[in-house]
Amino acid sequence: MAKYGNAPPFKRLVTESSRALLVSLRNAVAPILDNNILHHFTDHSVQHSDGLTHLVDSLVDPLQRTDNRLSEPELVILYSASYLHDIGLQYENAGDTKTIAELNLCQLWQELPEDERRRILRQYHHRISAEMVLLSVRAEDPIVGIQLTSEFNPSNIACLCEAHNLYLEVERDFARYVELTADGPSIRMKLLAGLLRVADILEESRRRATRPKAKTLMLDLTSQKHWWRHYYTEDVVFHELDRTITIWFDFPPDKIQSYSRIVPELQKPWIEAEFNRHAAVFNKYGVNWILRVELKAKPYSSTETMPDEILTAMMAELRARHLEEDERRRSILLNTFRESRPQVESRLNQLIEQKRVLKPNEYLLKLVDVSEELWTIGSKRSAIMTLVFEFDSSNQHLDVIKRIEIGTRLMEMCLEDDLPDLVKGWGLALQESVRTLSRNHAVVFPCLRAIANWFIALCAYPQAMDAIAEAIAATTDATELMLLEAKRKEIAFLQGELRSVTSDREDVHD
Amino acid sequence: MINLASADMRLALTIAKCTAFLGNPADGISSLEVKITSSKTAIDQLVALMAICEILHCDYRDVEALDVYEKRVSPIMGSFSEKIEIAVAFNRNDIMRSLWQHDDFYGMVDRATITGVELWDYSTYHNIAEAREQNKRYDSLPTIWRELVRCYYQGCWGPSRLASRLMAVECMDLGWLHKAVYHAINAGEKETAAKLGTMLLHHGTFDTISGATTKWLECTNLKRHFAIGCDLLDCYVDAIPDELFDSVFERVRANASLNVLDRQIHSIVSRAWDSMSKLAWRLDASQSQRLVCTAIEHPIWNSSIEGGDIILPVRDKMMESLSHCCERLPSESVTLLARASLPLARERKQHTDYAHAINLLCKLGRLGSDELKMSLKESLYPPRQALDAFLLQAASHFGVEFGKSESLSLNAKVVASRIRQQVQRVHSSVEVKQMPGTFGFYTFEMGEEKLVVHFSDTVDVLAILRHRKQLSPEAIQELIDAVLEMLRENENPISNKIGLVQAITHMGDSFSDTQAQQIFEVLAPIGNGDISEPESMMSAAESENPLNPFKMGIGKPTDLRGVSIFALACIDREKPEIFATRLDEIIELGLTDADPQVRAFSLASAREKPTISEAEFTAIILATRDGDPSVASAAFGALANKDGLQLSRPQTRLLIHSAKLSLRSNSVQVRRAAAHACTKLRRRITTKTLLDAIDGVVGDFSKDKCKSVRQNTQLNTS
Repeated sequence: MAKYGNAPPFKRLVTESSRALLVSLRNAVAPILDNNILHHFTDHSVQHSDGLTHLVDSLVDPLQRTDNRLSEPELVILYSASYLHDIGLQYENAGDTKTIAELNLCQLWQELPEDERRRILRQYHHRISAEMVLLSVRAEDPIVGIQLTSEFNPSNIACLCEAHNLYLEVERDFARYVELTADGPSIRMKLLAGLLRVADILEESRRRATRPKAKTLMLDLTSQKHWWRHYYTEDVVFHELDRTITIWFDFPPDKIQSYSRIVPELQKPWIEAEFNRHAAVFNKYGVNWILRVELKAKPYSSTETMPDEILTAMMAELRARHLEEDERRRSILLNTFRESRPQVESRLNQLIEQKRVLKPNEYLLKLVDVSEELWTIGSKRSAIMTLVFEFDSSNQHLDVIKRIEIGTRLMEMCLEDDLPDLVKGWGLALQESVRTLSRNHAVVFPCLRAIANWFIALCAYPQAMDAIAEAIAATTDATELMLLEAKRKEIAFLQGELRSVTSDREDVHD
Repeated sequence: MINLASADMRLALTIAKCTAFLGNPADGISSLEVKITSSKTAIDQLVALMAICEILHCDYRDVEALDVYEKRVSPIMGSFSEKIEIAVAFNRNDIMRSLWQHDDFYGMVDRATITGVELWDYSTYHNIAEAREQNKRYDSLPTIWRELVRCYYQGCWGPSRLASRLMAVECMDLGWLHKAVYHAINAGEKETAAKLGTMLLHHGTFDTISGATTKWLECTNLKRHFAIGCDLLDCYVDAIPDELFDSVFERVRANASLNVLDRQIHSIVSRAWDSMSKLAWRLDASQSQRLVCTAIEHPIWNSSIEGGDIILPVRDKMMESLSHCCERLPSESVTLLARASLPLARERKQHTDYAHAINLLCKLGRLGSDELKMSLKESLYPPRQALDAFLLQAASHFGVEFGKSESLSLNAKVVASRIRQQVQRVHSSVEVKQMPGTFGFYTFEMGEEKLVVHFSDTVDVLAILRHRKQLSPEAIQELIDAVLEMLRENENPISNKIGLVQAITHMGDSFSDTQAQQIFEVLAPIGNGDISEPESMMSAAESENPLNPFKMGIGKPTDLRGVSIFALACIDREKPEIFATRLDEIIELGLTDADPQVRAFSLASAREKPTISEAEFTAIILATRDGDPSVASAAFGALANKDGLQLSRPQTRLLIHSAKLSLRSNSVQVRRAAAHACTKLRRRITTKTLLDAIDGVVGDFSKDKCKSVRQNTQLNTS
């Protein structure tokens, strides 16, 4: 079997008979995987499967140190699936399969254009692989090149084959995945399926994307994009000590800046997402790994530059992914808002019911709390509207300090939400109230500053200038003073009072 | 962006910008440079550098602004929020556009879209529009103001300009015209500035106009501001207060005298002279003399036209300005100007302003001494020199006379032939070239035939007709036949026809009765509105359709109708009784036409007619109250300039009443015409009570805010 190299060590197997079983399987499928009938852009030969077994060995390392370690039959299933999961890709006579028959194609399989056949094979290869496995169970002329006996647990292998390419975000696929990976009495199918899928993704490294081969193929844009991503993924390295998996990228030196912002960002989340899909089962059995990205800067690197259109396509993909993330974030934000609002509303309703029994000042103070809560969850408009009219009608029941504190806060809220008109009813009264206090009182300056901002927002130029002067007189904080002075000049400038801005220039410098 | 800067920098920024806007850009920039050296944060540096760029940009020093941007702003970019980065990129785009350089504007727009940055707050614009529609000014004004403040802090110039425009329009609607000036200038938009200028002229009081002009002087120091300021100024030149006029004039003159260094400065010089041509009629002797010096010492005036492939577009405005003020020049300045102007009509002549040069020399010849006139005549009309159409027209101004000349008659035949070439039908294979004396031509394929239509001026027609007394009867007949043929030609554009009618308007003294009848036969139907437009071109209605994006104005049928009625009246003046009551019917119909141009021309026609009926007089008096200013002013003009008009007492009372009403008119044109009419007709009033009444009205006009109205009350004494 020199043509296909030596069999991997299958490190985690305990018995030689199991190892012999898998070596014979490898020897049988290697020529089939070498068919390469679809001219795949990445390597799907037996080397890919060998690579998978190596990755499985590394991935299960933490698990094998525990009592939850994989059993011999589980390992045989997993290793076997590593060799059989993609075999459907190489089945030229797939027209005979049940999978293809169920598609009810308009044309005979043989009469379909080659591109279309490739597409269908790629799309359904997992199901064809599973079918091929089942057809080889105790078969005289097994389609996978070896008769699959009960020692292989072929039905479980078939399930893993089909499960490896299901899209778990699609409801129907997810349901099928659950069905296929239902744990048996001694076989943990969910764990095995997760390990196979993660190993398959990690194996998509540079070793599978060879440049000379790529040059001989006519790949569509999506395939090329996929190919270049793998080309730049140089290696996947496991560090058992700190439980990290490092994905090494190698870029052309002159493109390292731009590529390092694009390719890893496409590759890493893709792998992370696969880990996350199996997080529950991995956590349960302690298969925990942290994913990292490393760039390798080689001064004499011969790594090639990808064509511009591929770079553009990658950026487009990245953009689409970011948009999706944005949408998701917005949806999370909205959900938080939706979840918290009924609770605040219910408090508000209770408060309204208590209004008759509460004193006006007590009611107002409780309303302030609710309003603040609404404000905190982003329900700004509701926060203002909850409080503003009640404050307008009942603020006289509050003591002057509280009135100024709440009034100042409410005024700031109105200004922030661009509703200065709502202050009109009580703003001037607040100004009168604050004037009754000593300038040194802690509540005075914030209130006068808010009043100045309110007059500015109302386009009441003379009142704004007076209010700024009043606020200036109420503070000794140098930064606040300078800020108010700046604001005064800015407002004058925007009003076209150019000479008034420059007239007291010297005073300002002094 | 600005709101993130330190208070210290914000303060310095505002003062620096005001200093620059008030005319000291160097001081403003240097104070910012000092702040930059001591600033500790990148945002402080950025806002200060942006302010420097803005000052330079506003002063048409965009090359320097771009240099600051490239060398000092670009290196610190990359560390700010996307909103700031995009705002700065938009500012750079403003600079690049000023320099006519390519910038990736659409890339910037996409970048803003992708990152969700909205520098223009469209929901606010919607709120403003809604509040304005509902006339809720108490809502719209503060909303616009807040947008103005937001844009200032945002630091992006484009949205700030839009906010300023909104504020300018709001101030105009609120009647705060003096406050609108600052915002209109910051808005940097011609239409808003012109609208404000027009409002000042029509609705401004002495106080608002004075306040607006003071503000104009305050904030048009930087060149970009000045350029927009000119758009504003041009519209209310008449109302500039006397006490501020010299300052305004000096501001414009200072920009007009700039040495042209680059395209941007050239545009300012050009803009300044454009405004000067509108100001010039108001200049006094001293200002006129200063203007003469500015013009004749300017490099553009003195540039040579090597090989004739250079066009100096500003010279026409220079000469136009001088033409408007030369009457106030002392004789030595007239001579100086004439000597400086002569080369512009000879050695340094260029076709774009040659007519202006001849026109200026005509005026100077009239104003100057006999010696000057003789000298100009010798220079312009050397013996045996072929005369072009302009010199031929101007000959009488310099005392050049022609005898009965066969060559003139031959010239007339050439001119007649050219008139006939306005519309030609040739074989489709014929290659068409533009004729001399035309603006352009178009062709229209009709099977194997090709229709060729030239858009012509009538300079050569007018030139030859100036010497009609020296033309043979055959030559005159040839000209009339050509004109009438082209007036009958359906495919001849209305604009060509208007030119032809205007050319024969004052030829009545040379027509025979038969020729006058021939003309009447053609012009009468037109005067009655029976006009068909060319089928090969866009009609006037189509070109005025607001939904038509490709407007092509080739003259309005109503204009042709008006000039035709007026031409018939002028011929009737020279040939009384030829048209008899047929013309009266046309004029009376025109006096009540729906189109104001037709009504105005009909009033002018009534003035030209030798006699005026009671019905026509009543119509004229009523027309002084016409809603259209051009009609009302034409009515006052008809009364003022009607030779031998003797008003009865009731008629005089009616006139005085109309004049009193016109005192309250927003239209300067109407007030000016009314002032002129009252002042002129006053001399024919003998009754004391009426005299007192008309003196009262004239006295009111003499206090008008507009100079031209006041001037028209001084005709009596001059």
